[in-house]
Amino acid sequence: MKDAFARRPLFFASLALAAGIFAADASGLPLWNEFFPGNHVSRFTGTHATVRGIVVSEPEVRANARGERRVSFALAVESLLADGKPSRVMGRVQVYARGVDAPAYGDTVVAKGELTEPEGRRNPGGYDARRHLFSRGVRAVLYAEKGALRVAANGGGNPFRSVAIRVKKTLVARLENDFAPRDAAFLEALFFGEKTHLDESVKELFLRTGTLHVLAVSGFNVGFLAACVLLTFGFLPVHKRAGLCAALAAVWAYCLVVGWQAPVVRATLMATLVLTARLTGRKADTLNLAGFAALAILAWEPRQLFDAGFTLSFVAVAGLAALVPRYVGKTPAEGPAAPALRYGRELFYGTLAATLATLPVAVRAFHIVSPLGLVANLVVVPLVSFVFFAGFLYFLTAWWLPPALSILAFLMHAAIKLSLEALFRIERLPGACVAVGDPGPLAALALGAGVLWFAFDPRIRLGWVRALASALWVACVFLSIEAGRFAPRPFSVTFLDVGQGDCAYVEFPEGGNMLVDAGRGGDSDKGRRVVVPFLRARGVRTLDLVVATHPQDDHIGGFPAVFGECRVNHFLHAGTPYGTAAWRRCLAAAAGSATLIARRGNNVEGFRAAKISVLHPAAAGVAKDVNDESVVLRVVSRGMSVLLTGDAGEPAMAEIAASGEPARCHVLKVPHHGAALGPSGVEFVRRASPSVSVISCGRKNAYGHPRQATLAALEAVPGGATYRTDLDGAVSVSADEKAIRVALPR
Amino acid sequence: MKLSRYEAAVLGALIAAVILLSVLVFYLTHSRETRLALSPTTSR
Repeated sequence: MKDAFARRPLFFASLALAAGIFAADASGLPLWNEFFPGNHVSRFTGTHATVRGIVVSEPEVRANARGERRVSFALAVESLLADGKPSRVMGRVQVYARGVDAPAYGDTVVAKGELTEPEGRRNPGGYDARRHLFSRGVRAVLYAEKGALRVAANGGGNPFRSVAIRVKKTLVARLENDFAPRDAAFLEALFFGEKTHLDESVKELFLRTGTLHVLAVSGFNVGFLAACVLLTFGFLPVHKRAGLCAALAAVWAYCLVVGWQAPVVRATLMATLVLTARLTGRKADTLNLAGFAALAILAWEPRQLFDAGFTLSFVAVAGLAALVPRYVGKTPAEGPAAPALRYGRELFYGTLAATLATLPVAVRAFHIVSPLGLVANLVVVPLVSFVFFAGFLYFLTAWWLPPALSILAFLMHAAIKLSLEALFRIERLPGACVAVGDPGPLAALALGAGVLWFAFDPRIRLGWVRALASALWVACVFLSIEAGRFAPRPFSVTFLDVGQGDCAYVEFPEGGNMLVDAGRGGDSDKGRRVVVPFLRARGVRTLDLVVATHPQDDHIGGFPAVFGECRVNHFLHAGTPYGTAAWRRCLAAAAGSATLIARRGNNVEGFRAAKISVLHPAAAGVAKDVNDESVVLRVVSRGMSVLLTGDAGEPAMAEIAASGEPARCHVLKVPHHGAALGPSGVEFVRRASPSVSVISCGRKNAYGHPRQATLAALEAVPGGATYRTDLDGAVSVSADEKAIRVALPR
Repeated sequence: MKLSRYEAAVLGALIAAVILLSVLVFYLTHSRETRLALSPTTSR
């Protein structure tokens, strides 16, 4: 062990630094680059300000279904005007603007709007914008007001980066010109990590089959580029050193073109050291090189440690360096097929080593495992390597040998098609992708420690035994986690923050679950962006009951994504006739589930230790407003009663009161996102007398929800507390025999 | 090269653990399956 420390001091120093950063973050201590001066832009959050600065990232442009452009970029702020007071400031702000032309990298921009702190995670398993922006050195966010963003000057920024961006744009334009849109989008992701044009279903396909690393520029690309350059120079009548110098220049140029992404910087630093070692005739140790790169990146921005791309890149390379020699063993193959056999073994064990090494990080980041990822990688990695090599030749020849392009383009198209087809087929196999939830830090540690133990146990001498034992250990850990899921749990209801819409996930104490609504679909499909990540984080693969309270898009638009992700056993709705495309899509997605039509007086039978009563509607297709046919449920378990009201309006609430159904509850999902309550609504709330009320509405929504009258009615409830998803994020209420508890994501 | 006694024991223990845990998970999954119905019934 002492010897290992002495031989790889940089690798172990990087592990110690990472542990220190984790500890500092967990205890809330600032890191060394976070002692900001008084004029740092983070000191001005919470103000309405006009900022002026230089665009320091390549602006990202997306268009919604209405064709409205949404632009975002990082701005290095130079001056700021707040409360009529100008100040010279420093620091970076992420600017978001709608309906404007995107500025270019290096432009000086003036933008006016609300300067806020980046938001943390709003839903369990959801995107954490705060961590993401912090890892890029951005400490504030500005949503520009309409028409309040203008370009004041051009031509600033780093001149090398400006040139690199122009080169990238030229190459991307060339790809878009010569390839079909789907192939071009794939190649842009493969070569430049540019995924804006890539279809969401393709990204999901790569994620679900454990091959997402192919679409992230990383060591794979840098290593391949260096190899391609060395190979090309091998054919030229030049000194070997010229090839090494050219490879060095190529990897740095590539790093600049793809925009200093952490995995590429890591790989470029490592490639630089490897190539320099070869130039000077020295030997390089991969783990030590990885340690050096990690130390350099973390010294510059320690919060990169919380970026999944950075961590995955490092553990993958460390896994390859440490585990492959232990798995491959020392018995060399003999005979004419020896090189092919050796390549096959190294590819197999390399894929296995990278999969096992990245598993603890990947499962905590994505909450899924791809048991067939090994097969998918063995198929796709050689094909994608071919595409990369062909692409290199394509870019080299594109400018002076146009006829060669058609052959290369055809071969690249065929390899891409083959890769996607293979992945589609693998993904459709049972058990190809399994949601396992967040295993927690202890299980992640157990996974990593077990793999290392079996790889380095000196009593195991055979490489394949080490590999098999590691894989079996991983299976044991996941099966234990799965068995643990059946332990008794509290009765819990989580109201997700789906913006202006509704979604509640219910878990019953002795097994069984229910999802009520799934938010809006369309551009910002809340099903795909919020509900599915939440279900994955919980390890939910089957939903016993899915309820559509009523067929409006803000309640059912997210369902197709949910039905695509989980097995849904029963689908309950009111049967209200409704002719929108969103509702038709929802019914089509639910075709494989047993349909139940809810009517007042029904009970949903079958859940242990829980009672679900339908309080509304009494009939369907009769109300003037579809909201008034919302399914209203009263769910009781572990002594806690929850009233889920959909968008029930005044007539619905008056009907429920008149029906004599018990409407008293501990937890109330406030009807219709907190719309104004009339006399029947106020009486409904008074009778319900909830100790916890939850309003599910979007921040600064166009409807003015929640209305003051509603908030006043809720305040009048003695001992009641009101939570809002627009202010609090997801609200989770749980009950065991002792108490009712409320948990918020922050 | 043949498997040593230690290697065989490690593999045997791990395979046994995987089989036992698989059976346990299979049993728990199927014993807890929830079959729902509405009462009084209005399903279709």
